[in-house]
Amino acid sequence: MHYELNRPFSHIYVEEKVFLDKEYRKKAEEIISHFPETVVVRIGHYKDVFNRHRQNYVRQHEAQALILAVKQGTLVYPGAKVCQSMGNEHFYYTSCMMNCLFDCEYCYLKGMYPSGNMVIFLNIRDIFSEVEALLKEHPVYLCVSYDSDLMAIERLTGYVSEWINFTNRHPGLTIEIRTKAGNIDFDSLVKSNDAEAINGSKMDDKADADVGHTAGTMSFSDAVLMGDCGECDKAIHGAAIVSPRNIFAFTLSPDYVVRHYEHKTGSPEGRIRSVKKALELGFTVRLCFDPMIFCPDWRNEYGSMMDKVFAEIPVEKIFDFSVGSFRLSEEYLKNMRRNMPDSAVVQYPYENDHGVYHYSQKLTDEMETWMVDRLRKKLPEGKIFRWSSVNE
Amino acid sequence: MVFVFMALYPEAKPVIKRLGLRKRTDRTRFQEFVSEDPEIVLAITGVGPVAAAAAVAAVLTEYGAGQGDQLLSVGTAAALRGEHGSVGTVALRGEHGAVGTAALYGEHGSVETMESLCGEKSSSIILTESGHDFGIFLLNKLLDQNSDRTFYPDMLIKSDLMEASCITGSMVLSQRAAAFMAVAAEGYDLYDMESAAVYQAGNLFLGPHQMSFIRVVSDRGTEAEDRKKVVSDEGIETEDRGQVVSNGGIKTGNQVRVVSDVDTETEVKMVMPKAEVSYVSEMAARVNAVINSHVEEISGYVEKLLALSEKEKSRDGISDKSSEALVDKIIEDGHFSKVMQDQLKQYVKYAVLSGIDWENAVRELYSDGVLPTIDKRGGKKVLDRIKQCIMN
Repeated sequence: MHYELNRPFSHIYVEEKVFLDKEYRKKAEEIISHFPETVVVRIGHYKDVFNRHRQNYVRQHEAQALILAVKQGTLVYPGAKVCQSMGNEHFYYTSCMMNCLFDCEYCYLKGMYPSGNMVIFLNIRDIFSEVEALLKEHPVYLCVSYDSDLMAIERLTGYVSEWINFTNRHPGLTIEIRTKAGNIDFDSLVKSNDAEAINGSKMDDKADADVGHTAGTMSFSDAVLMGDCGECDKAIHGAAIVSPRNIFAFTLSPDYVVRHYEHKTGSPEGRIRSVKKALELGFTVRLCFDPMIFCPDWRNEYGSMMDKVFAEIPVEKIFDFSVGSFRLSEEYLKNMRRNMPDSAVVQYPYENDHGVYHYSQKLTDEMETWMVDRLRKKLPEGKIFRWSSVNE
Repeated sequence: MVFVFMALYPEAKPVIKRLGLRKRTDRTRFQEFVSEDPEIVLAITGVGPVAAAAAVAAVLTEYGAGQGDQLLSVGTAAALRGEHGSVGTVALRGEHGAVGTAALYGEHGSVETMESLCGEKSSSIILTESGHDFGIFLLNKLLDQNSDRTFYPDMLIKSDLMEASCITGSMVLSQRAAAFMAVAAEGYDLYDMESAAVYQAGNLFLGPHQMSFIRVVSDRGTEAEDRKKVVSDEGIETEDRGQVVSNGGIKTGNQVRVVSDVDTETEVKMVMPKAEVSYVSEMAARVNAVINSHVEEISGYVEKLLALSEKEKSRDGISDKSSEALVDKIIEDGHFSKVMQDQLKQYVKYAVLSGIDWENAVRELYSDGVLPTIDKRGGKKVLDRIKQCIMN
């Protein structure tokens, strides 16, 4: 007796509204064209699939389906207290996607969302309009890749490129693109910006921008990792037109953690290469050692990683550093423990402090202080944001 | 455990035989057939959504269905036709068995642009009739005609079966109802009287990742030639008899007999007027033949579900019997409270998943005379020692 699971995106659910609008429909066609063997199922509303009763996030993620939808209601939210604002006053976040192609065992999405399927909202332009309305009132610091990893499926959506274009044109806007992708094809992102700058076209004219990612048919594995494919070490041609208000925030983890818990993500080496490339091109780069995950011999594991970071990345060019150990709300961890009885990182006996699970205070201090001390030796204090201290 | 639900005994007969199931003689409410383990339970629900929901709820309650179990609904269905003789939304397999296309029908009932999303266009589906064989389908979308609610079972297991959408009604599929559905529920492929009800009742116990629906098409529902011949198992008014024939049954005066009520031809003869006997027998033979022609695919799918169910069971963190026994012994010898018991189990679960040899430390506690303790206070010291061993 044996069985195989369907490949991710073997089924794509498409909302009714998508069929009724030319622009959404075109975008949907573009995305689906990458999966010639997919089964398309027409649905009334994305929540009919995403919010069903008794779903199992983990089982669904193993054969992840895709939902193409049009988001309604509020599209840009004030940043939650549990999210790091990095000192920004007008801190917001938005979700053009729900869920992630990457599969980090400890990820809070596994406890937060009822479904492991991925939703892509096709009306990114509506989000842009809402951001423009906010920009009329004050500058905006916006996290665009919080409940997902936009870079993971950039070849499908081109959304990161669109966000960069949008940010370049709106001086009051700073965006953070957080990712665990490796070997990101920055050339394509930059080329797209070049072309737009040269053409001088307006945002609205870029509705169907071909960022060089979406042409042709892509296998799923291509989509999963934005590289680790060895194709992105091309020389950069011409001057990059990149606003420093585009912050790429790379989450770095040691080999052990990536290998055991961060499935499908970019390798540590691939992420470091991407960091270097981003810096070369003039992007602002943030390094996130957050969440730090306890593992046997964590000092050596994190020590080796930091040795590589300091050896290969010109850290003085890094904008800032974020440090924090794993923490998660009680409700989310409860869901995750039910769905992942065989995950060591989820089954770790965390301590519950007023509804938030974390390592013991002693271990938390040890891990975070260790990391901050390593960074302090090379960097000014002001560049280091430690999660605990930020919230005290 | 895999629960298989089928409406009619004549439908189920080939499946029962193929899977080597035996009838439970201690069950009278619903007929149940089980494997020796018993890892498979096949129950005969009777016809229609109410009967189906009642049987599903009763059987799943009886066996205490939950995480790790799978439900499979198998039955016959009528194929619905569009105006132009083509079927609506359906995922089709191409000539070579691969998924060919997902034809999405627009407002006007014709295939529109979105069809091109999924590669080559496939000719309209199933109606490659040979004898009574119209094809076997895995359902990906279920519409409850009564409530107008739609349900989507997860499509996680890789299968060669074609996919289709299905409307579940509680009424006989009359020509008038079919005409109404052609407008109100355009795009659906099949009509049956159980699947959406099975989903709703099953969902009280199981998630959408634990439910699958297979339908074998037995007739074309409203086609004139079918109407003149015999009644399908889905039930259609017959012109020549001037009677309403219910789903899988026949109405004579005030008496309604359904095929599920009659197991044998002898019994048919006992309960039916002589004139009807040959008709009901013919109908029973027909649904029997329809299922029998696809019994290999059905049993193959059951085997996959069994394998999936087996894997799910093995996911538990402390599956090792000796570990479980030792945990129980410590709890008893250490006079652990409920909270302490939960803590110990969490420590042990983490230790087992992380490959930490915690049992050795416990043996030392016994050899040092720390265990057994005389009271709970001593138990707390034991718990601390075990924690120290696992967490450091």
